[in-house]
Amino acid sequence: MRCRVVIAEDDFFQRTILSRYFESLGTELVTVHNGRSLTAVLCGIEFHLLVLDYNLPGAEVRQIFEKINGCRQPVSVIVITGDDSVGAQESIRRLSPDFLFIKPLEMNDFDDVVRRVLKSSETEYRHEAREARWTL
Amino acid sequence: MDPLADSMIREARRLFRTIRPCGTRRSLYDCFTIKGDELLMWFNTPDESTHILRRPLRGRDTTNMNQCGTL
Repeated sequence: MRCRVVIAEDDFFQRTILSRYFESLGTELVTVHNGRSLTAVLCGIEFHLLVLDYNLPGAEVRQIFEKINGCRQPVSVIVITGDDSVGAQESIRRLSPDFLFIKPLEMNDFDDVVRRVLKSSETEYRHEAREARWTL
Repeated sequence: MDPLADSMIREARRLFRTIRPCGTRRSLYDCFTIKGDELLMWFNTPDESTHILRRPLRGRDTTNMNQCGTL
């Protein structure tokens, strides 16, 4: 199973740029452009990484994190935002995402983090698969 | 300033009226990145939503432009 990534971003160009980037890494991709679609996806599929635009329209970010924390499989969350206000930064940090990036994305840093996250997800998946085989 | 960057800033203002630099950037001129052969301008609208404007570079000299990696 390839790593499955969910991209939640309302801006078409940013979504496209992120999609192309993750496709180049060979990940399985799901993209959503609003909170309602994201909620449906979170309830419907298993995934390894969520790339979340903090200002996603229609998204209650706290509830999204609650859903993710309730997931059976470990999920990493990268929050991206163009809002550098102190209030927004504090709110995001309280949610404890795995990583926070401020737009414009510094792609070298973003790429380093994504590769690290995907590598650890693959390792965990293999570990889970091995354990499942032993318990058969 | 670069004429292409100037025209993109004017275009963003025409489309969204009020725009401001994205994230921690202090000037709109700091909000440009290059992706492949395109120049991207990142900017925020008053609702703190981030937008991108893209224009082809078409063989321009990009040595003095901000380059934030190639996505």
